[in-house]
Amino acid sequence: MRREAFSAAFIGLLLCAACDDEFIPPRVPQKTSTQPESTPAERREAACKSKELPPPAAAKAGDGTTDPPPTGSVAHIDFDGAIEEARARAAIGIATGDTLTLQKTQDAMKHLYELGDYDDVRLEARPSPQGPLLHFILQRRAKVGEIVIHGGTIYDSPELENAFHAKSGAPYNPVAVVATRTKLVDALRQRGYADASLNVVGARAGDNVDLCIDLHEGQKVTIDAVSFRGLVKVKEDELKGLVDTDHGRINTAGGILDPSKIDEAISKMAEVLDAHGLAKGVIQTKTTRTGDKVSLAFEVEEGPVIIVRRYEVKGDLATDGGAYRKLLTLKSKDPFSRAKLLTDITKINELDEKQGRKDLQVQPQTQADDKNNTVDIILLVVDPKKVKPPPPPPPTTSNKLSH
Amino acid sequence: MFIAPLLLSFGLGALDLQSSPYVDRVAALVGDHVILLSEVRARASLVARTQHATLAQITDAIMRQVADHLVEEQLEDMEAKRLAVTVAPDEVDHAVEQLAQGNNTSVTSFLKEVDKQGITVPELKDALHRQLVESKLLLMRSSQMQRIEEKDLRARYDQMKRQVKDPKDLKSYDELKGELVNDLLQERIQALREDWMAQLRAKTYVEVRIGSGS
Repeated sequence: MRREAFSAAFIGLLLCAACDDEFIPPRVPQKTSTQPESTPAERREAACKSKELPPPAAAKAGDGTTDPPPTGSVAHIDFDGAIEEARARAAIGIATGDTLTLQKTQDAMKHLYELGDYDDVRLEARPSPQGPLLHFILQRRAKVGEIVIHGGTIYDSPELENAFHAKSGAPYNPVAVVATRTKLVDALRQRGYADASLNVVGARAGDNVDLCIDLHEGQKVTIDAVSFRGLVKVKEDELKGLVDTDHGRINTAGGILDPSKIDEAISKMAEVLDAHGLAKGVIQTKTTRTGDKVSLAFEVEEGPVIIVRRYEVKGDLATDGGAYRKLLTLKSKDPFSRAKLLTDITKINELDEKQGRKDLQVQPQTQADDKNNTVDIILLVVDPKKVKPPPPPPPTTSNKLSH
Repeated sequence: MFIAPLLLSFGLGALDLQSSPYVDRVAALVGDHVILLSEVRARASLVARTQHATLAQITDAIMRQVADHLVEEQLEDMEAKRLAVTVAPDEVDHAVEQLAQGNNTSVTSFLKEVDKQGITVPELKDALHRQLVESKLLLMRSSQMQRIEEKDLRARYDQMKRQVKDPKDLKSYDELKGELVNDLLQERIQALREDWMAQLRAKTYVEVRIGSGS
């Protein structure tokens, strides 16, 4: 790989592939939708017309130098905007005379934010002949102003007010608002309200944030039928019992859908297919919604039974081959099973360890014959000390590391 | 500003208040977790090093991209904790071995080359660790990935056929099948990741305070 190509690949690893445009709440200052002279009713209306929660107030701009923080013993620390300076001073964990490090300043910033009193925390550090001077600038949280709550039957307005701590004059914390919204919606969905939505939006009005909380529970959706399709070699009863129904509450007729338990059931079903030699088997679920009913279908593609044709242990064996062969649970002409293959690899590792050769590695090499539905497997025992480094790449290859 | 008289009273009159101070601030919020400007700079300087540039040369747009990426990493970390997904050190070592093997070289030579690019071994292992965690989390959601069927491969092949001037220039379907499977698989993994990330973002308060437009 050429240097440029390598750099690009590593940046890809650092930044990953998914850095496309995504929705990020816009940074303040944001256009305020209410004027100071607005009446409470107008402010409530404006809050409900908003499309999102307002982010915290604008922080002081300017990011200073890109150099690391000044070093040496801290000469002076002061605070701007602290509600209780003693509390803020205790939180930072840095005192005059302490040696300043980047880690200490980072911890101080995080501890100040964790106090929960501030929307923004900023540190400005300057060098001086006596040592670094630290100036912490803290921005207090806005307060909740007007509140509109539209409750439902499961969660009525007073319950929502309590859950969101939505009291006029309380500190406005968008992180807590979103966490509460997620918790409540998850709870409703777990109770079968699959369409539940909880819209929490707001608008800034001077130093306050007006909130609008609107709950739509929707209908309770229950399962009318659970079916299995595509089963030929495996019996339905072998799979049906693997679905956790929580005594008829979930994933069965009359119950509600619980996708996480369905995923667990599919993993267990895959093990059953494996035990039947159906290594290519695939299970998927399909749900069909009609009004407040949903049908759940497990669609199984069993595929062919794969037979083990050749099954051997070779390579840098720690003892005689017979000792290895005795351990194997999978045999030639058996239906192939991934679980048995993994068991055999573990047993070989244990035997090597008993022989004092924990360093030996087992590398399974498989060769599938799709026409005859057979597979040849060699469990190659490798001594890493004997592995020769691969030859250097040919000079014409552009996709490899250069030397 | 009350700091100047105070400093004078401490005998710190030699201080140059005109020069730019070192600044750290909240760069992003992911739920209760704070990502600091200094943390974004640390990652950005790594990107800068791989490009033989300095941190000062990094644009606002790249800083924003780095911050967005750190946000996604944090969302993944939170999800990994919730689902108790871990990656052992030997899994990372194995990934290094595979990378070396993919580059037809030994691990020692590979790490030397990585070092030449300005990336330390812990930085490389950290990046691989994160990638392995993400792979495990995506694997747990793989049942939600749309399956690749023969008709999908055929449709993609037909699309390629329409795009070439002379269809005879195109390799046969059987020759290209492996490549088509890989392409479609990558696209579906990417779609699965985007969908998952959107779901994680919807559940958590996310705010980025740096970069373009800030």
